[in-house]
Amino acid sequence: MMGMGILKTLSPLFLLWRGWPLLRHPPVRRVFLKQIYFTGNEAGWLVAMIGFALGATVVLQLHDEYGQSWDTALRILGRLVMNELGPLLGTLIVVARSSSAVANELANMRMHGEFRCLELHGIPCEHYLLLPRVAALAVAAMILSGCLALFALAGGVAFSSGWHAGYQLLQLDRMLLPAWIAVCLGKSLLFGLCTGLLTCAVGVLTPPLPTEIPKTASRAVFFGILALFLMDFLWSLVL
Amino acid sequence: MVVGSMRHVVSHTEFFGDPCLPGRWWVSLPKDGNAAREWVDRLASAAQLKCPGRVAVLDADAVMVSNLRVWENLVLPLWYREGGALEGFEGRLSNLLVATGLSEDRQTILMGLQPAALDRGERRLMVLLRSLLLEPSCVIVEEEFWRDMLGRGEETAHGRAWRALLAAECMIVAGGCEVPGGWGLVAEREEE
Repeated sequence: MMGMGILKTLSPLFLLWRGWPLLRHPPVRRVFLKQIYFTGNEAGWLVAMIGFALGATVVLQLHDEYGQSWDTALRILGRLVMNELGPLLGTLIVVARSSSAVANELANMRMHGEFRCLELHGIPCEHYLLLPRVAALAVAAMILSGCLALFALAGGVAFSSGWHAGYQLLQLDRMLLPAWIAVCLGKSLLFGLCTGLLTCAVGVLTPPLPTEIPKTASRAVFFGILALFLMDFLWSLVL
Repeated sequence: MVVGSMRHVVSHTEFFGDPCLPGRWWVSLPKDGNAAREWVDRLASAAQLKCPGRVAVLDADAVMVSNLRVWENLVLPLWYREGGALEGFEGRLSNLLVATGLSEDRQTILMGLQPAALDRGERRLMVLLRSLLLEPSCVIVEEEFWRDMLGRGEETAHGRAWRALLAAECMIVAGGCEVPGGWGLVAEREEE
């Protein structure tokens, strides 16, 4: 009986795939762009700093601890951040910063009857509230992961070459293979999409009680991180 | 179907098949609050099927979307129905605000607020304006809201907006058993 209730509550999420064209509808597009702004744009500085520090640390460790040449260290860094760390950390930042906020917001809206209000006025919640949030979290994860990887490379280049960084920039094609870029963007888009779906599921499934709302944020982050590392593990096994 | 002083009695099943019948209808609901709410939901979704995007619901709690400003809340149902640029609705909204008799300062303040900053009366006024902006074919009103509007003076902003809304082709009040004269009654057969 409870299982049926959960399935019924989650059914809008399963129906989202039919609604993608609705992202062109101005009210839905506005929610989508606002969510990208809050998730992606506001995390820009954080991602830039983390990426830069990460790139510098990895290159210095490879050179100082493992005796790699600067060129090799940069190539390893390129592969590492594009294939693994970029998508993982970029999506992790989305989970930590935005999943909790989105799940909390949805749970609050549901508790205060805002879902019902929208439905009564002929505005389907799965299209107006859930679809743009899922899509925005996916797109934001992709953008942030890409930026994190680029800043990591910049950090690596800056610390390996110092004032001669210009020379390394000319060798960028050795650190940024098109296949690696595709993996980085594809992987982070998939991770972001799953994070978005999970976040909305947590928000929608939270019982509409004031005592349950504070738990929503921690639940969203917990399940988000767990799912992220599981997906990354599965990706490593399969591809 | 014309509703005058004579009372028409229609069953729930019959009425829910087409709730957008012209006239004034009083839908008798179960006394249990949750059940009554479910009936209003069913009524609204049945009405949305008949006249999509032209159904306004005036719920007693006057719920608005909390993460949008008041003016965005007012235009949202209309904007969702018609699409286009959001700025295109500003003219219609400002004409409506002028018609309610609110002062310009009061309009500016109210429109820029978050819904949480409004008191119950202000929220009900905003919900009335949201409904008016939709130019609805069917208005569904919860009884508590309806009784509140009956008690408002005709020259108040609420009174003006309510009078304008009474021009809707179909008005349905979802409430208890005391049916005012001249309204069509929608009830179970045994109540007839």
